Order: sequence, then structure tokens, then C-alpha cells
Amino acid sequence: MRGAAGAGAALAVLLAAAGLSLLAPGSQQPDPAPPASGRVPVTSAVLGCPQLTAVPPRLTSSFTLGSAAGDLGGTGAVTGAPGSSPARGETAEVAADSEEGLAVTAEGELAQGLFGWRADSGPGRVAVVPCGAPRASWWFPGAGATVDHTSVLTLANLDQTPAVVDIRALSIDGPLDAGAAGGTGLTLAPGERTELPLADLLPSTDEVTLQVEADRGRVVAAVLDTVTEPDGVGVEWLPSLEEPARDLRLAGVPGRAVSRTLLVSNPTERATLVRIEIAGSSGRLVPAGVEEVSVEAGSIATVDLTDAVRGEPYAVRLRSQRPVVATLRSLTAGPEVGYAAPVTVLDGAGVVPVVGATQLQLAAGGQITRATARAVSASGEEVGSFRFSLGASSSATWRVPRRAAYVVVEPTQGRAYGAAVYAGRSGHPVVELSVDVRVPSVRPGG
Amino acid sequence: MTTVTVLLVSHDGSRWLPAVLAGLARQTRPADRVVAVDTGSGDGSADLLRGRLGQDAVVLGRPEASYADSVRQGLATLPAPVEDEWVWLLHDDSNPAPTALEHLLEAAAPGVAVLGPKLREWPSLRRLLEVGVTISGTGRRETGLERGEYDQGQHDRIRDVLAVNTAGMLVRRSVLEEIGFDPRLPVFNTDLDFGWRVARAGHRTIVVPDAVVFHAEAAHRGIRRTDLTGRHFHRAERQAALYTLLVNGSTPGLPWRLLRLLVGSLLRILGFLLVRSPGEAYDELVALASTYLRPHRIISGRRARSRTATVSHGDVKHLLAPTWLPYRHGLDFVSDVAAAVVNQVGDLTEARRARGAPVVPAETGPVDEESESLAPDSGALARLLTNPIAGVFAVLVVLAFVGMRDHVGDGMLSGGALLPAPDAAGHWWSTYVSGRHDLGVGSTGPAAPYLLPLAVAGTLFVGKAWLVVDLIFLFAVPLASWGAFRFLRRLTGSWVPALLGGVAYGLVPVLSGAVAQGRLGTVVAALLLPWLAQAASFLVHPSADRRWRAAFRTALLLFVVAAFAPVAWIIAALATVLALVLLPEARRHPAPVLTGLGLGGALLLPWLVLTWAHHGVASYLFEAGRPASDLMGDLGPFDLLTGRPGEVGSAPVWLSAALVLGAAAALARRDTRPRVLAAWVLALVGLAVAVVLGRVEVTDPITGVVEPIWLGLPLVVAQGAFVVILAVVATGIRDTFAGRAFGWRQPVVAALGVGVIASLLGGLGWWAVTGAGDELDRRGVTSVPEFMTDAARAEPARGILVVRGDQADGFRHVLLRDRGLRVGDDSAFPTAEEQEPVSALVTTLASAPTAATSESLLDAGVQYVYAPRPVDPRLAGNLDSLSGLVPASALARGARAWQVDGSPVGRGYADGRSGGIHPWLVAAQLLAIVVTVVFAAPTRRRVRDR
Repeated sequence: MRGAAGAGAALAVLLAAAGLSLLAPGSQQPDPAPPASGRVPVTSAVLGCPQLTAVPPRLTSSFTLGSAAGDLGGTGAVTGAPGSSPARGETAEVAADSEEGLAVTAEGELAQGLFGWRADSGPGRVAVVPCGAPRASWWFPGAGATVDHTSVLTLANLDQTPAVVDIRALSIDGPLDAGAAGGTGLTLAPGERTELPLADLLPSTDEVTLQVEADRGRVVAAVLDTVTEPDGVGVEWLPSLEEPARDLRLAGVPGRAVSRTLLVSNPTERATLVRIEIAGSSGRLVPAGVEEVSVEAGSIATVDLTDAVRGEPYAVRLRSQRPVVATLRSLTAGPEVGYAAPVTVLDGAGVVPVVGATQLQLAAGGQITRATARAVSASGEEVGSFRFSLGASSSATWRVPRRAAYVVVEPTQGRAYGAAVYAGRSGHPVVELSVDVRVPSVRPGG
Repeated sequence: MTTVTVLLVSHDGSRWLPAVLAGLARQTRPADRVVAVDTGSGDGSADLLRGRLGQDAVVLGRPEASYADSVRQGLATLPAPVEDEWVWLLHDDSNPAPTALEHLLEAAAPGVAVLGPKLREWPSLRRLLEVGVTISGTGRRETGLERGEYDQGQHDRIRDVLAVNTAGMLVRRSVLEEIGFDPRLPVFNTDLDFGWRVARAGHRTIVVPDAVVFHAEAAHRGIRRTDLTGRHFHRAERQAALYTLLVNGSTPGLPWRLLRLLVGSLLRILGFLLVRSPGEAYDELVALASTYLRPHRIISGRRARSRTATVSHGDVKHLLAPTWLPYRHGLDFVSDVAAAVVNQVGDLTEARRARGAPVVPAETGPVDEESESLAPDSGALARLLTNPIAGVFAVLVVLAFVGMRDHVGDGMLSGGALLPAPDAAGHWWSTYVSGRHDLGVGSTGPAAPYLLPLAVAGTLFVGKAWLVVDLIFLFAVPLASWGAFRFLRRLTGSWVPALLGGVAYGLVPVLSGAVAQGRLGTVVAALLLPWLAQAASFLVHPSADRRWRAAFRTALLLFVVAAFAPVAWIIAALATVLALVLLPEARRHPAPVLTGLGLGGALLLPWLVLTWAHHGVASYLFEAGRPASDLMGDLGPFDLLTGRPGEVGSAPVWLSAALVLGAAAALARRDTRPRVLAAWVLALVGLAVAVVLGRVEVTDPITGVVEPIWLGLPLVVAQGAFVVILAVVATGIRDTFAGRAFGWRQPVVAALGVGVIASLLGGLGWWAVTGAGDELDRRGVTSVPEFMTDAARAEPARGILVVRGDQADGFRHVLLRDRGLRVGDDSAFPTAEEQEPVSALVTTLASAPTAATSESLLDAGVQYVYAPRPVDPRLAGNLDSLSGLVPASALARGARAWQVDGSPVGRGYADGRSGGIHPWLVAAQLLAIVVTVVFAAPTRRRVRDR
């Protein structure tokens, strides 16, 4: 009997062990970082508007700055425009005739929604570049360093501390060495501005993706791109990105173009496959034959999209295994060159300048999207509005009234992103207004 | 005409009396008269005396009469004194040599009132006992002789002394009657006090070495217990010493002497406690109290002495022991201890030699533990080659050296859950004892109790804290194996299974990944668990003394293990409850079992209480070290069964599969089933605790984040239980099968045995290849540049705010006031709540700093901000653009650093909060630990009883 009891106990013990082990806790990972504890309103902001010593010929240049309208407060001040301080909703225009760029600072409530841009316009052509906030990292796809296609990098340090900048470059054949020509360890004293023609910095290369990284401090960078064709010269500012991304949206592709070239740069150390989608007025479209492009490590791939869609503005979406940088270059008769800028999906209100004949192009993400666009004059009055109602992955355009100085886009549903197209050629992304700052999660711990 | 009267005082001395009387009869100068005083002997001494000396010569005294009373009683029977009359005092155990009296009388000169013989030991006869005595400032009786010194005539010189022993003392009757013995000194120091007073009265006391008396010194050695000495001869001795010093010393020196004797006695009490002689400590205490609390005795004693005194204190001072003598004795004691240790080793070697051929004897009598555990001694090399036990441990040590190949060089071992060791063990002491810490925003949190054992170990290693940590991690396998081997050998009585089991257990800390992840708590607990198990196994010992000693030993070990891994106490509590329910022998004597558990927890009390108040109860569930939960990974059923609490650095599960299978199969063997079942129950407790802890959500008080709990200890317990099962079931398995017919069982058992041994070899190989893993490494204490840490060290207000992380995954910060956090600092670190101001500052820096932010940094005691690589660009940009901050040299590539302009205004972090009751609690805890150690130590052999 004792033997039987012992065997029973043995069995019970084994069953208990098996049962307990099946209750293993499973995942032992710590909780992911808690969500951001919220957002705080911006109380001070700085923008740098780029300047070049050699203004492109036959173009007049000006800076415009303002603090976008909305339900934001109006206290504080925007400074930078000599002789004027625009109130909430107004814009002020400053001629870009000095040798220095324009630094715009805003304090108080007016710092929320501060924006500014530089416009270089002439008969039938226009180039617009946003004034940017100083930051440590800038990427410029689409640059060149040949006789026919050349770019000039302009850097400004608006801070009170020196900035040390490294410049790196990618080409179709791989990374380029910019260090030999002084592209690394470039020091900018507080308030200093400098111009670097890429032809001086790099060996003769047609397609260049430029990376500007501040090792110390922050800078404002911009690149002016000049394309020389047999029948003339096209000028445009290159779009910029802060960081390479695996999911990129390029908006502002003009409807009419002689050629369209998609440039995808892969700054990582492994090759990557990039899938290409087009968001046109009728919805999502996959360009035949070029659904996917492979980009070698540290190099640029070019894709000819001239025949993909014709006659209507559209947006391009790129999905990649690794973070990439991309733009789409359109050459139009004239000659004129335009770049589709990588844009971000709007979380809140965005703003885009109005310069001459302006078309606002808005695209939707993978769901039905609605947004309101309000055109505002330089004095802050609303001069027109448009309600976008977009099917999933489709896009639409609105011709903005000429009296307007800028357009405020407010998404109400879905995921909207877009850009303005000027004179049917060149683009400018709808830039989300910096109203508040995300507060990251912070906790003690080594 | 000189008259000599012998005065013999006897009490239960029939053992010696015949020889004493014979010696008296043989005197070359016979005594003129013999008077014997018998103080109520129960052994027929009085009859014996009457038979030899005649009816009239024997006076019967009271048993409780003091020596002084007896002498007085004897003197009273004498006729009226004559001139030049002497009294020769003899004890019933002092046998005079034939010429003793003759020599004494020869030396009697005018002015000499007392003469003493040379006292030699009886019965060994040649050892010197006393050639005159004096007293030291601590009340010690000083003979001026080495212990056990042989008489080779080296002291044969007549000289003046303070006193001579009453055994064989020849004293002028007039002086004896005038001064007399102090009745308040019943036995001890009668002679010293008498001699002192004689000297003060202006008489001389000399010792005459030519006169020899053999003395059994019975009362002093405790062979005889009279009603006068009682059971507490030590108490009587000390009482007499204190009294003698206080009544005879000079008046101006009295306050100093009172203080000195008080402190000295307290130190002696402590010393007796430390060697676990509570009885003697108690005697000392009672002697002190009874002397100091009855000042009237001292006063009247002093008054009486001043009446007979004719010379000053200064004139007798030269007869007292020199002042340095007690210190010389202290030095002697230390060298004695050292010699004893050396002798002990010698004894062990002898014990080994004596045991000879059988490598491990069966458990027989009470063999000394240490000698038993050692292999036969036959020279180191020969032993290594011939003794498998030494061989296996030599291999383990060699493998440990192989495994640490990647961990030699500069820097402190750290990584994973392990912080770098402090520069010296003093850091651990101060962190443990201090009630507030200059960590981060300043903390009043209690340091974890594991700092105490670490500090003790570090002190033993001459302050080299890093060595303690290195030994624990790099030699975890041999150390754990050793403890397990000892325990298993005692448990199984057979060395082969014990050795294999020892190795299997030794591998547990490595295979589980505890070593590779830097889990200090689990590794130390794993090293100590076998010792805890061994101590606990004596809780049911038949001898009450061993049971109780085991209780204290268990409590002590449980305290240390639980200090490193508090969950150990929960497991112990569950195991205790189950043992009391399931084991009849535990039920029979539950008190030691419960004492072990309860006291083990009670020793943790200060920390438990303070932590509850400061960090919250959740702290009890975290082991020593950082949570390092990113190294844990997923935990499946097989991980639980094979003891793999973490993903990083642990061995493949299949390496331990044979162990689990073997433990399961072990249930089939019937004769060992009760013990196997008991071990299985323990394994189930471990697994159950692991399952429960794996499912609770606990917020780490320091980081404020919900962290999974590291399940190292419960799983090590389960693995240890499996090892015990295998060792138990493997013992004698060959004999079990020898008598049986060949069947399916033999191949199955053989296959399991081969599997277990293969997995042991596999585990050793895996350990040798992977070593201590990649996570653990020798690193600098911090990557923060030295100029910053130096500044912070010099002035803690100039702190360094180290910020890691990025916008997407969040930032982590630590505010350094020194070179960096060290082992144990994490436990005393301020809570997340207390660090909220710093978190808010970092939040501002990472999002939208304003001009006021740099002021806030200074207010928080931050001089530098340091961001190790990779630096979040937004954070760097914000800091770069912030006025009041200037970039500083970060030295390391990719890292960034900033200096805050200006000097931190005051120590905003140290707002004067005091440590409160912390130091008192720690003092109480230390005292409790010392007491526990005293009671856990082996009973001291009483030298005097031998």
C-alpha cells in the first residue's frame, strides 16, 4: 500500500511540475517606453532664410514671414523683418537684397505657427524655399556637380555657439569623398554664413545626394540647383529631409513635364528594394515596369517616370526596406526644373506659400481623407477656401486665388499630405505648422 | 627561639591530604605545631586529619567560611603568641618539599614579614606555578612566568615581591593577626590583597625559591567547586580582582581606575560573547555590577586599609606589575590565536593522514567537520594526481581561468545587471551605515542589506572590493560546486554522486545565464544555497545543542541569501510550512526550524521597514543589481524546468534536459522515494514561486517603470533540488541492480546516467567556450570624462547629468555626484518620484528649453550635461542653442557634453534631510548579527576543563 501511495505522490509531483511549467510567464520584455507625456506649446522659435551672394539672373528675390492664423494667441513678437513686425495672420515681405540671410525669431504666442519662405521669381518662373529651423541634420537629394548641373550649398549658424559641420555625399557609384576639399570639420562661428559650390567640393558628378550633419551645434542649410539646357538655365531650391525614412511621400509633381526622374538614395550600408506607388486623381497606381527599384548601399538609383502618368499632378509614395532619401526631378519646357519634395502626413494644420499662379495639391493616405484649405492674404484676411474630399490614395488640386499670400491646410479626417505647385513647374511642400512640441518620455535609469 | 605553627586549611581534600601530611612529616625542620581547619568537607577529610594529627589539632569550620575566617579560626586555637613566632599556611593540595620550611626560615630576616616558597605544579612537579605574584592594572594575577614554564633554576633568586601564595606562605604571627586576610575575598586574591596591605604596613614580602611547594591549584582550575567558589569561579575571580584593585589603589588614581576597569570589563564581555562564552560574559557582567553597585564595600575596605598603612602608595608601586604588561598580554593573545590557527591546520593534516586510505569515510562519529571534508594528505601534486576530488576541482579552477580569458585587464567587471565594484570596501560600509546618500537628487533610502556581507568580504580582502566581485563571478562554478559537493556528500554519504552533483550544481549559475547577465543576487545566492541547505539539515538533528546551533546558522545564512535575493525568504517560508506539515521529524522539534526562518527574516528588519517606507514593498521582489530586464526575453515551459530565467547569456535548454528527465525518472526508485519526493516538493516550490513572480506586474521604484522580475533564485532552487534528487538516487544504484535479473530497467537507467554525464560534460564545455559571456566585461567605471567626475567628486553639487535615449523611445537620465554608480548604489538611489525634478528638467531639455533652463540646472546641482553616443540630434541641438550652456569636451567619439555656465548655487538636492532612525536600526541589526554569529559558532572547548 505504501508503494502505491508513493507512486501516487510521485505522479502528483510530476503533474504539478508539468502544470507549473506550462504557466510560464511568456514574454519577459519590459513595457515599451510609455507614450509621450503630451505636448507643450512652442514659446520661442527661430527660422533661417537662405541667402546667396549671386542671386540667379533675371530673378527678384524676397523673404516673406508670418505667423499663421488659427485659434492661436497673438501676444509676443516676430522679429527679423526690418521695420515691421507682423501680427497674427499677417505676413511681412522683405527684399532679399542684403548679403546676409534673414534670421526670423519669434517669442511668445506668435512663435506658434511661425513660418517664412524665400521666393525667387521672374517672368514665367519661380523658385520657392521654406525658411528652416536650425537643426543638426539635413539631406538634399537631387544635387549635381557638373558644368550642366550644379548646386550651391548655403549654410548659416544662427545660434550663439559655434557649429561644426561635416558634409557627405552619395553618387550613383557610391559615397563620394568631400573631406579632401574641406567638407568635414567645417566650423561656423556664431552668426556666420557660408556658401559652398559643390563643384569645388566634389569630383565631377551628375547626381549627388548631399548630407549636412552638424557634429556640434545646429545650422540652417539650403541648396540652390541650376540645370543648364541648350535653350536656357533652370533654377530651383532642392527639397530637404531631416532623416532618411523607410516610407516617403513625394508631393508636388507638376502635371506637364518633358522628363520626370525619380532619384532614390540609400545611405545605409546594405542594398535595399524600394516599391513605388503613384497617387493620382483617380487613386493608387503602380507604374508599369518600375514597381520596384533596387538601390545599392551608399548609392543613388534613378528611375524614369516620364511616361508613368501624363497630364495631371500627382504624388509618389516610396516604401523601402531601409531608410532612403528621394526626390523627383521634373524638367519642363522653358527650361525649368522642379523637384517634388518629400512631405509628411499632416498631424495638424499646415501652411504653404502662395507665389504667383499656385496650385495646391493634396493627396490622401490609405483611407478617405478630408481637409479644408483656406487662402489668406498678406493682411490676414481669408480670401478663399476649398474643401478637399479625397478617396483612399488619391489626390486633388485647388487653384489658389492670386490675392492670397499663403494657404492654411487643416486636415479633418484621414491622412492628408500635399504640396503647392508654382507656375505649373516647381513645388513646395505643405509644411506642418510648428505649434507645439512633443514631450518625450523621460525616466530615471542608467 | 623560632616557633613555627603549621596552619592547614582543608576542604574536600582527601585526594591530596595523605601526600600533604606525608610531606609535612618529612620536613627537615619539623613544625612545632600543626593545626588543621576543615571547613565541612564531605569526603572524610576531617577524619583523615584527626587520624594523622590527633583529635585536638583539627578544628571544624563552617562550609561557607572564607579562607580568612578559617585562618582566624585556626589562629584562635593557638596559645598566646611568643616572640619570633611564625605561621606556615598550607592548603590541602599543597605538598611541601622536605627542605621547604628549613629554607624559608633561613631566609627570614628582620623586616621580612612574609616568605613564600616556589610553587610547582602537582603532579607534573617540574612546571612552575608561582615564584611570587603581583597584580596588573587590569586585575590580572601576574606571576611573571611563561605558561607551563619548566623549572630549570631560572628564577632561583630571593627577591622582594608584592605577595606570595597562601599555599606555603610563612608569615609572622603578629603580622598575620594584625593585618589578617580580608573576609570579603573568600578565595581569590586573598594572598595578593594581604601582600599589598603588608607592603603598605611597611613589611617586606620575599620569595624563597629554594623552598619548594607542590600545588595542585585546585580551586583556580575549577577542578574543585567549593561552596565558596560556587559554580561561577570566573565571577568570583573577577569580583576579587576588581575589589582588590579598587580598595588597595591610591586615592588620586581611583577615578581613572574605576573607568579603566569598567571599559576593560565591557571589552572582556564583548570578547567572551565573540568566542561564544555567554556564561563567562555573564559572570564578568555580574562581577562588574556587584562591585560597582556596592560602593560601600569599597569605601569601608579602603578605610580599613588606611588604618594599617604606614608607607605611601609610591613606596609599593615597584612591586606592582608594570603598566605595559596588559598590552603585552594582548599581543600574546593575538599571536596565540595565530598559532592556534596554524595548529588547527596542522591538526587537520594529521587527521587526514590518520584517516589514510579510504578517501571518504562513512559517517560515523562526531568527526571534526573541516578535517572530514578534506582529502587525504599526501603532498599537493600527488594528491592532485591520485585524488579524483582534488582533480575535479583543479579542472574546475582551470576552466574558470579559461573562461575569464576575455575578462582580464583594466577596469571593473560590470555589465548587464552588475554595476562596477567600488574602489574600496569602505564605500560599501559607508553606504550601508549612512542614512543619506549623495546620489542623484540625494536619497535617504536604505542601502540594500547585501552591502553588509559584501563589505565584510571586501574588508577581508584588504578593501579590494573588485576582487570580491571578480571571485564571485569568475569563480562561481568551482565555489558553487564546492558547497554542493560538501552538502551532497553529507546527504548521500557517497563521494561519486556528490562530486558529480557538485559539478552539476556548480554549472547552474553559468548555464542559467546568471553569471553572464551580471546577476549578483542569483550568483551569490547560488553559492550559499548548499551551505544553507546543510545548516538547515541539522535543524532536525537528535542533539538539541546541534539543533539550536543549526537554527542560528540557518538564520544567518538565510539572512545573507535573502539579503542578495529577498525572494529566498519567501521560498524558505513556504518550504518551512511544507516541512512542518509533511516531515514528522520537523514537527517534533519545530522551535529551531521556526527560529531559523524567523530570525533570518528578523535580521533583515531594518531594511524591510525602511524600504517599505521609502521604496515600497515592490523592492522586496528585486534581487541585488539593476533590473536589466532587456536581457530577459521570453520564458517558456522548458526554460522554467531547465532553469533558464533569461535569454541573454544562458545555455541551450537541451543541455539541462537530462537533469530534468533524470529527476523525473528518479521517482521510480522506491527506497529513496521519500527523500526524492521531499526534494521534488522543494523544486515545485521554486517553480511555483517563479510562475507567480513571472506574472505579477511590479513597478521598479527607482526607474518608475513596470519591470518583469528576474526569476533567477527560484529557478536555481528548483535546479538545486533536481541535482539533490539525482545525487540521492544515484547513490548505491549499482548495488540495487546488482541483485536483479537483467531487464528493461538497466538499459533505461544506464541511458539516463550517460545522458546526465554527457550533459555535465556538455555544460562544462559550453562554459569553457562562452566563459562569462559578452554582456559582462571589464570596463571603466563610466564613460563620463574624468575632469567632470573629478569636479563632482571634489564638490558633489557640481553633478553630471547623464542623458541617454532618443525622442522616439524616450530618454533615461542619471545624475552623478561621483565617478558613477557602483555595486549597491542602485539600491540606495532616490526613487523615480524623488527624481521627478530632474526628469522634468530633462524633459524640458529634450523638448523646448528656455533661457531659464540653465538656471534650473544650476539649482538642481548640475554642472555638466553628458550624452553618450548615440546622441539624439534634437537634444543636442537644444543644448547647443541654449544660452548658459557651453559645449565641453566629451572625449569619447560620438558623445556630447556641455558645461553649465556658473557654479551650482548651493546643494539644492541636499535639503538637510537627516538619516533619522537609520543609524540606530543598523546598529541594532549589527548587534543582532554578532549575537547570531556567536550562537551559531561551534561550542568553545573549555580549556580549563580539560
